[in-house]
Amino acid sequence: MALSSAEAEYIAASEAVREVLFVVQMLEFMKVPVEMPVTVHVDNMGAIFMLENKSSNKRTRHVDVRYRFVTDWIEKKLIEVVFVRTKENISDGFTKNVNRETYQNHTPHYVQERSYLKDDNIAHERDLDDESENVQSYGGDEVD
Amino acid sequence: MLVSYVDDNAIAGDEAAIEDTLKGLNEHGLTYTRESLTDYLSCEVIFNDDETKAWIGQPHMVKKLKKEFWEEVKGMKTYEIPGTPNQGLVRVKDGEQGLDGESHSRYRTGVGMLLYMLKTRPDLANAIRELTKCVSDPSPAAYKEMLRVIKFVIDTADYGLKIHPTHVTEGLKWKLVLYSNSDWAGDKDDRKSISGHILYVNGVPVTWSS
Repeated sequence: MALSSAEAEYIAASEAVREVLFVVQMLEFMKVPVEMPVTVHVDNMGAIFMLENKSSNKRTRHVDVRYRFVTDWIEKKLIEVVFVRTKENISDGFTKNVNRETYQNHTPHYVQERSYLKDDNIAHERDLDDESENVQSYGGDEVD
Repeated sequence: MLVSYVDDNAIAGDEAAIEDTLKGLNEHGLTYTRESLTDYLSCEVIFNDDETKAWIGQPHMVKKLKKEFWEEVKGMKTYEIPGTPNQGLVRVKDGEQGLDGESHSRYRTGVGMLLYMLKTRPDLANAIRELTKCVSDPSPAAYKEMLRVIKFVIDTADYGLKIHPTHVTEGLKWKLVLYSNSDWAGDKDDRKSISGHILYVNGVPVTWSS
């Protein structure tokens, strides 16, 4: 049980990071050079502070230490945590049944109709990446 | 690289390495037929003309779903999204009317088939996770939601995984990008939170979870 949304995001991120490290190890086994650090997009500032070990107060000190390995990996520059707005977080549809607008915005990033192969105007993921890097501002009080 | 799954195998790599591998297989007395990758583990794989993009879908599985459930879902409207927004399914509590034996069995069949669709349909991940929560004691509402997801899958039979790598230049490092998210206390039953993520390698979705 998570007591706050920041804690839930923190746990979700650390679970996802385990998966990343597995993929990195597999790629290294296949002798594929991997760009480090790996970018992790999180849409909650509280969780980012927790991940970067900048926060320990009444609300966060109970959090299980078994998720703390991410902090270690951030310090070793294997992982880099970046803020992304909820609206632009394309993993939004993996935690709730999103509305039509969100579905139509996010889904084209991973699912396409067969005919997309013939369409040269489909946005490239590199574009998406650049977009999200532009909105890295740490200012907003985004609540998820 | 050689991928092997029981009797379904695929080889990827540069031409010389592939030839070498096939020669090795020959020496060990193994027979094979060589064809380009169009079908693997009952997923259909299509490339565009210059092989910079690919699409992976499961028309076989959609056909199976249609055969099994079409009679039940054909009267339903066409949905634009897989799951009912903001709906959380809850397990049947003591004293409430659950599904009868036959519908329960149909529910398990339907959810089982949908789970296969996850291989190429990340967009269904959350809707299917909702359904799997109450496989042991589904409510009539859960059954209705399952039919909705099945109808959506049949209506969007042409959807498949987008494989569009950003760069494949030699010497350039591969780029991994992770998106992680959670829904705090998203489970209406026990108020546990829901985690989800999707990982891109060079712009190609590789793993996801809900």
